[in-house]
Amino acid sequence: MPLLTRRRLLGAAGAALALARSEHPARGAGAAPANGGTLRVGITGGWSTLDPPHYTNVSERQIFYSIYSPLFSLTPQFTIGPGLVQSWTVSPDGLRLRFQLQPGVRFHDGTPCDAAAVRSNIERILDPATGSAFRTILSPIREVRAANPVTVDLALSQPFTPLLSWFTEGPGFMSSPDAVRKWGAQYGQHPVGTGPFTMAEWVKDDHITLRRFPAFWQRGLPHLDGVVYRPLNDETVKMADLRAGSLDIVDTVPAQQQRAISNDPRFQTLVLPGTRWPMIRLNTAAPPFNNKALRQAVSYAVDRVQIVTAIYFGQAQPAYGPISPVYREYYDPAASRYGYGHDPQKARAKLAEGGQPNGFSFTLEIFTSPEQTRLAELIKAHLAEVGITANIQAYELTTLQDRITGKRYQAVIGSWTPRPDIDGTMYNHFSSRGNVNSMSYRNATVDDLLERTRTIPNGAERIRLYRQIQRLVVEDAPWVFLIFENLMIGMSKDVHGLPAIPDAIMRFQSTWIEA
Amino acid sequence: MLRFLVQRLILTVPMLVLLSIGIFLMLHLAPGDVVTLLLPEDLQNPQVARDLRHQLGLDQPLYVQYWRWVTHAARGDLGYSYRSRAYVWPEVAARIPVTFELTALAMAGAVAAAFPLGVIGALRRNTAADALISGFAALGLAMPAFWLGVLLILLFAVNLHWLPPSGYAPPGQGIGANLRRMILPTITLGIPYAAVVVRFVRLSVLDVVAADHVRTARAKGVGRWRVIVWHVLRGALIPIITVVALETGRLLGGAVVTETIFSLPGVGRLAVDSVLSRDLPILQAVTLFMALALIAANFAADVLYAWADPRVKYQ
Repeated sequence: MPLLTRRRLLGAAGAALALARSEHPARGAGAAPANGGTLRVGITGGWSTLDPPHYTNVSERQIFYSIYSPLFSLTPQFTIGPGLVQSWTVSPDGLRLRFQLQPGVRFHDGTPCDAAAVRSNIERILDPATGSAFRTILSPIREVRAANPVTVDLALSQPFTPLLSWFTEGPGFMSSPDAVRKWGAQYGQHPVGTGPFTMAEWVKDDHITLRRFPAFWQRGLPHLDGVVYRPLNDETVKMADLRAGSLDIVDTVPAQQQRAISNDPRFQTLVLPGTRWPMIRLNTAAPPFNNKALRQAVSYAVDRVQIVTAIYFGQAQPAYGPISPVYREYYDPAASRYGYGHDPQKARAKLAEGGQPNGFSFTLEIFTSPEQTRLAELIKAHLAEVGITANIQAYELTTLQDRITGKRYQAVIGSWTPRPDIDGTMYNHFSSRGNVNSMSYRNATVDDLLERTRTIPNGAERIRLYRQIQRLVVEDAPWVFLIFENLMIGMSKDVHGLPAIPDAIMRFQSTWIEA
Repeated sequence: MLRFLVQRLILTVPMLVLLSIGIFLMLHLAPGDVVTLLLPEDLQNPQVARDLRHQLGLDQPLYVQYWRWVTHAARGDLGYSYRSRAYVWPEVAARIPVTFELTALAMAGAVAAAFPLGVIGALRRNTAADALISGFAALGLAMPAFWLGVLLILLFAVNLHWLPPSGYAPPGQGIGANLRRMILPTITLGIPYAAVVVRFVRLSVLDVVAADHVRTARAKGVGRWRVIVWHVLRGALIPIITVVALETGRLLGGAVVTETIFSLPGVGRLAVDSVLSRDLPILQAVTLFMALALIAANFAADVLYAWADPRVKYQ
């Protein structure tokens, strides 16, 4: 199992947190970036709207970073950096924020991206008539004021630490207020931002062509003349396009092809460890999983190391808690000691404790995908060893989503990708007021601690609180923690200058192609 | 004849209305709520969901929603997509040429290949050639498009590098580039269709070969090829036209899968996406388009009957 060994080596060196480049050093590494060329990008999924307040999926977010610039950027360390906001201050009580904008930034239509434009964008999301999902996120904002053309003041009704991180994505992309007025509801088809590329052509379901924006505010960038995005829903076909040379880069390489692509001298890869994690959500409000001992029994029965090798071909690491290593200092390696290892003995003991010494049966719901099917079959086999019967039931995504939102399930396999602030993962799932707490999980101490993490600044105290929260959540086991998966971006040897940011979004402003 | 066609045309209106009611009800009965899908997973907030439902008019009773749709549609306004908020008609119209080209190429290619094969199978029945042709037909029907398509991509695009794996080039960018991208989808879509047509051609030629007028023609000493072309094929045309028209439905259904595999921006792919995202306005328009295409195919068949068989008269 050479792949597992490599992963273990990485883990042992603490390097699992770092980003692993493929073994083939790029020819052009270290050389000066060349200008020109068009990058052909393959993305799983598609685009319906490019209006940031209305976006719904990750493929739309992929394009946003080319057309728009966010107020704040994300660093490879998964922390917040400057974007359109050059510098910022937060008052000690956390209620007043001041943003200093980059001066002289213009939208693709030539209008200025100044404080008035920023205010107009934020107010558009706050307006109920817009119908943006981000309204609730920005709801602590009481007032937005343009103090002068490059200064924006925000007044909050309560401190909200995760707010700035939300300005690295959806709510942070600035649209030209002129264009929004001009196009109305059709704006999502005619996006106008301040990003490195402008919209040139959009053939629905076929491609989106972007062209270099010569007046981009980061001088000297972008290097590329253009980017062509193609939506490819079939993973096999997407990889065939990369291999045949009709694509230069793809958003994700499926686990079973990662080895072949890394070993092919024509390609290089960017590995982002722990950027997606599947889990089993257990409905704690209904039998059998309203019984904590039975939740723990399932957790002990699952063999995570075998899942890593058999389903993810070594491109993952076992998960002992909900917090992935992408969250750096918030990740607590101690979870592997207090969490659930594969231990059939303890699983049987927990079954006895839960009043089901001979095991029990439940329905494990999944989405009809090959990956989830394989995962569910393996878990079913693990559970069978201790006498638990999992009946697998597959649903189409929309139906499954409905069952999850309506809490009409016993156990369901889900998947998560990190939000820029850990709050987006933890509060959402484990607060009784969280938007994705379909498990009906409720622990008063956890609720309290989660509220506190929202009001104190990032730092040692917030880290300590999250370690405490993780420990409580692991004990309660509303999820069966499974693994943290490595996402792999695959690209031609000639593509350089792609930043490795753990949200797994490709940003092309400084990308270049070696001629 | 003209009167007959006008009558048929008028009859299609209630058909379309019933169809649109059916689609409307089916999509409402299907599990899954469009508003849930319009909000990112971590932002499923009841208040925002309520606002959005109101904005899209989904908080109205069903009959009000349907009546609003149908009265707008009657005036030529098909509304806008729930998901992209783009107007429906341009979304659908932009995709029609792709599906039209794909189905036309597949139909033409399939009929061109199937006709001679079916005739040979019938004239040489119970020989090795016949067995081979029938074998091809059985195999062609048995190969699912998602399997055949991926296999063709792996062989011709990844291994041999003869053709691009996927994507579309409009004919405006050069007919060569356009056709190169259509070859594999056409084969994928055309093979099961050709398989059906081969079997029908073979059967109907077999029927006619045994008919009295053919025997009489032979007895009169008419040449072998003249008998086949003038007496056999002409007589066999009616059932063949029928199956070609009826199987247009299969072709449009196959286009759904084929377009998805080869990433072609056609109506079929739009249909799948709109079902999965419960995007009712788009789905209504797509279904109406497909229904009209089927009706047009049957129209064409009716016209061709009269041409193929002068005894056919429409009152």
